[in-house]
Amino acid sequence: MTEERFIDLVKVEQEPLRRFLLALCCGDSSLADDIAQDSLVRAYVASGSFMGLSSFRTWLFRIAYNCYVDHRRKKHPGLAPIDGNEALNLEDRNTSDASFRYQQLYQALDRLSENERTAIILFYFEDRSIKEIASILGIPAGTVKYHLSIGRSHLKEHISL
Amino acid sequence: MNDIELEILLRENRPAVKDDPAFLLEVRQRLNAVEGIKNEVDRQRRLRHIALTVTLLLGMVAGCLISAFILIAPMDSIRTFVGEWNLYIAIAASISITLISVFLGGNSLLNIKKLRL
Repeated sequence: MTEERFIDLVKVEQEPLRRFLLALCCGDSSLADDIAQDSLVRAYVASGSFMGLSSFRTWLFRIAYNCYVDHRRKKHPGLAPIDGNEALNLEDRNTSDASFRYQQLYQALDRLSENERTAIILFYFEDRSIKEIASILGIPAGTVKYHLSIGRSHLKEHISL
Repeated sequence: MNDIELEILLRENRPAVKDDPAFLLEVRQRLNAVEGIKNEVDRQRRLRHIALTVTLLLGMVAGCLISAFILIAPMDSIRTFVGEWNLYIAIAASISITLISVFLGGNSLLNIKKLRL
């Protein structure tokens, strides 16, 4: 894949990719963009191995998810949750009530396990199908459904409205 | 809170990302850097192959010359030079070196051809 072709594809995919990582990083936009940059470089280097078995977006999201997991493992060897204060770096929230709910939601998301959070984010924020989520996470579709169900229960417990 | 309320809450609070030209610019810079590194690695590999091939070709020529000398020169002079038993070992060794050089040299040339493609 040529550099220009890759850039053209990235132009289309950059927004969903950055939104996915922003949600995974619980609103820390600079960290999300750093991971997005790393994952795009990694994807470009590996672009020769892209066989087109899945869509380019699914392939890119899988690489981004792996980059995120690597980053978390490097920075937090015990996969400790990101500091809740990082979730304050959020955009476009004007009213204090909406801001509070938003912050509360992201703090609740941060308390979920890695797989639960990723499944919830991909399903509700990115509108990905179960099959695509399974492909991104590299787990069976049944396990994705399980993570979604458990993630929903945990979110309801953590969010008090 | 039921599943529908949770779904509404999640969908309403989808994170907002603005289209950022600086992001794409940085991606482009990083990809250019990657391209530069790839080109440099390719250039180094090609140079290494050329150096290897030249060395092997020189070895092959030297091997051929030694073999020719052993086969053509008068046997008495060689016998006195290397000794009675060592003569056969020297012939076998020089033929082996020649064959190995031809094989490795050919292999290197094929690799260089692949790199150029």
